[in-house]
Amino acid sequence: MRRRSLRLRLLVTFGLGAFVISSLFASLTYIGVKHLLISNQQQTDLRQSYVNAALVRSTLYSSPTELFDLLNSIQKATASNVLVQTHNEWLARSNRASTIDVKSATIKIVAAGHATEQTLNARGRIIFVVGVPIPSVETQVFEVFQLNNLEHTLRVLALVLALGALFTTIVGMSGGIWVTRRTVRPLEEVSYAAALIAEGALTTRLQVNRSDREVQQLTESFNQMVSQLVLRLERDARFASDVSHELRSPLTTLATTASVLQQHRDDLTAAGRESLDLLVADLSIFQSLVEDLLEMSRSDAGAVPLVMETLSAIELVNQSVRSAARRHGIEEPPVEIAEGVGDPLVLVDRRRFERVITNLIDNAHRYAEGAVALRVDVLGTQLAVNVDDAGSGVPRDEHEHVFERFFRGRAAHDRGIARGTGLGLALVRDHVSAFGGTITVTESPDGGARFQILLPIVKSDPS
Amino acid sequence: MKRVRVLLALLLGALALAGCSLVPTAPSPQLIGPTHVPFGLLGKTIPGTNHGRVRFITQPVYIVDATGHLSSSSRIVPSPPVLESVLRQLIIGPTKIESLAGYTSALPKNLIILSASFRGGIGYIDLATTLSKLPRSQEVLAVGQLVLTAHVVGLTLDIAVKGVEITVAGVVQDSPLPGNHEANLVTTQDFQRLLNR
Amino acid sequence: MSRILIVEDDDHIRTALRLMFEGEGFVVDDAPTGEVGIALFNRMASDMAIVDIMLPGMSGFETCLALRSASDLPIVIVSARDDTADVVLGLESGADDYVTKPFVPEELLARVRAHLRRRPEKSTGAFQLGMLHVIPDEGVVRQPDGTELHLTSTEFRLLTDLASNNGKALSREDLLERVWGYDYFGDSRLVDVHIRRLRMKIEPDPANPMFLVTVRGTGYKLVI
Repeated sequence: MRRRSLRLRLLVTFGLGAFVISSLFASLTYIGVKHLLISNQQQTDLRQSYVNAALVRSTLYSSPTELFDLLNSIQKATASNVLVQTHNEWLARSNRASTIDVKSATIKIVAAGHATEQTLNARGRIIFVVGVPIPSVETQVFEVFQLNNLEHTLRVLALVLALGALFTTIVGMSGGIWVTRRTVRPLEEVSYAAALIAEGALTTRLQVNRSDREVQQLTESFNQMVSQLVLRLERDARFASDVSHELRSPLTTLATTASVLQQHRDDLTAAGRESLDLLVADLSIFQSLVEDLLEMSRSDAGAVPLVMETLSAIELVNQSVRSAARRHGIEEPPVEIAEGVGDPLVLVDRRRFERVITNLIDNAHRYAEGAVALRVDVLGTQLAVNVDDAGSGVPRDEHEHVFERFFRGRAAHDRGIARGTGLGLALVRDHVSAFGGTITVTESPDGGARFQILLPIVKSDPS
Repeated sequence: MKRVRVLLALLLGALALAGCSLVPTAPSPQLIGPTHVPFGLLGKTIPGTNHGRVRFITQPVYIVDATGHLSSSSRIVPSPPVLESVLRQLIIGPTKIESLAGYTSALPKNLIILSASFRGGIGYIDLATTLSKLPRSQEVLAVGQLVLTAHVVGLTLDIAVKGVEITVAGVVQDSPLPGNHEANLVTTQDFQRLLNR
Repeated sequence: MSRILIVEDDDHIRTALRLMFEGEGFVVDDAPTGEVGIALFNRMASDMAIVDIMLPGMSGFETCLALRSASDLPIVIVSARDDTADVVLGLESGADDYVTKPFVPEELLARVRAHLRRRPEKSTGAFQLGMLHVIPDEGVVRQPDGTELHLTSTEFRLLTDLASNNGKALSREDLLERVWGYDYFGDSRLVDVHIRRLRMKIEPDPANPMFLVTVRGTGYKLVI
């Protein structure tokens, strides 16, 4: 499910909300005002038409010679044009009037005795034409009003309202930005800090002294939580090292005294010798187990930091194989470098890498008559180190589980003797992950198991 | 939910735009109820009079026919006719019937007559702008219309009109005559040949 | 019969070690503290010392320094921690080797034997190393002003071994075998730290060595 950005949603909501509300307000205002203005204008114009019609009537009756002057003076005073028709012919009009403005439809209706009004578009301009029949003087009066001013007013109004809506939308969006900054930014900070801490930067804390109470609470609680966790971790680490010290001394005594007993083997009875053998065997298992456990708990607690170096992978593998073989007194498996591998560099902790190789070779020795070969290859941007054996392999359903702590697969049960500590492969995986690599188990070309380590290749710098 | 919001916004936008159209026009005239018309304008009689009526008469005027000759037509004018009013009425242009028959007027529709009156048998017509800007043939016809119409108006008023003097804002004009003549005082005689027989 | 000095504060371990070494035919002088250890050494002139780092009072490092200043005897330090820092500090204090607890007793035995076994060196002629005059037969490095530069026997053996290889590089494992005498239990860090200490002593600019050169992929070589 694709998650949407809260930040975006807030911004959109604010912006959109402001836009919708302000547009609504602007439209409603505009519509309302327009309606009002237009009807007011019409009322005024109509009243003026009636007055002018009455004037025309009285002028026609009393001094018809002054009709044209009347119309012209009306035009001068009010900027509207009056036209007078009689007996279907134009009788008079103001100088600027144009007969085209009065449509035949209007003339027909007015001539029939009805007063009319119409807003129409004439030659690009909006005009309001009123027609009034004056049957008593056998004439029809038409007055043409220009609505320029009204149009202009409405245009200005529309512009102002639109700008207002735009401004409000911008303010709304700014409000949104402000809100997200106050709410989302702290969330982002927390998640960023949490990520850092998860990666191991345990001194990371959030900045306190925020102005918002809720955010202040959040940061304080968070910091407190981290401090508590760090204390716990440190306690655990110290525990690991304390235990380490405590266990080492008794173990040393046990091992040494067992050696002494071995020296005096001949003084023992057969039962005594047998017991001594068992004691020595289990003592060595105990020793390995304790060492593995300690190493595990140390790497868990991050107590011993890695010493990462950029090393030649081939040299490292060769050396590790040599050390491993010598340490366990077993035969050194051959190292095969695939063609075209070159001399890649990897970034690892040397000792831990040696440990990894040692554990894998030891594992092969324990469960599969030893490793057949270590094959090194390059896969894309990664270095592959394969420890192949010719044993019975690892069953497919155990591929995931072999790396778990104390996992006892079928092989271990079958063997009976020569048991490992159960931590060897788990340690291998922990160390390989610490280098940024991965380890998997598949089938080796020799028929047994292949343990494949993949490590990122570091680009060497030209100097 | 998001979609609904978008639609709502669009709807509102549309509304806003619709409202944004300026003054709405109507395709046909709206009738005004008679009760709304004041001053008894729709009444059969003129208020304050006892069956007072305006007397109209049919006054001959001269316009231009389809062949380009001056021709007689008429206008309904209030009695008694006034030269100024008749001429102004003439300037309005041909009536619908006249137009259908191909009649036109040589007088430009925007011509403004400042004053026109008879004095001592002469018609003095004062124009706001000159006619000399017109093409010669039209100018001749326009002057012809003026002089002939003034003559017949004089007849209606029982005035013997000897001729017409045209001024522009008071300045006497050399009015063109048919054939390359000009005169300050034009008479009907001058325009006989342009008459439509 | 070799004499071993064991300085270890844990009674059990000390006793067990004594029993073990005596069982192998060594004469053991054991001490619970550094001070007693030094006093014993002065009286008994031990051939070899095993010193625990964690001691009450005088620390293992100080004990090491004191012993080293008095003699060239091989010193193996025993540490409960595997920290590189500890190891380096121990070696810097003059130890020749280190072992972490719990150790495999047979391993310790083998190492002790290896250190005590003075192998006959290949006779190498005296050679010049920059301003220094190295005389392997006398085990001496003479400085230009006539004074002798003090090197431990391990350091000296390391130097002469590399010199006898005619400028060819030797791997860490090879060096462990030739100088320390064992190839099973060694940690290449031993070699690295000793090389570094040697560089501090003989190189005019230890950070940019011109004699003791690292050969990447192989080990070290000596350029004469």
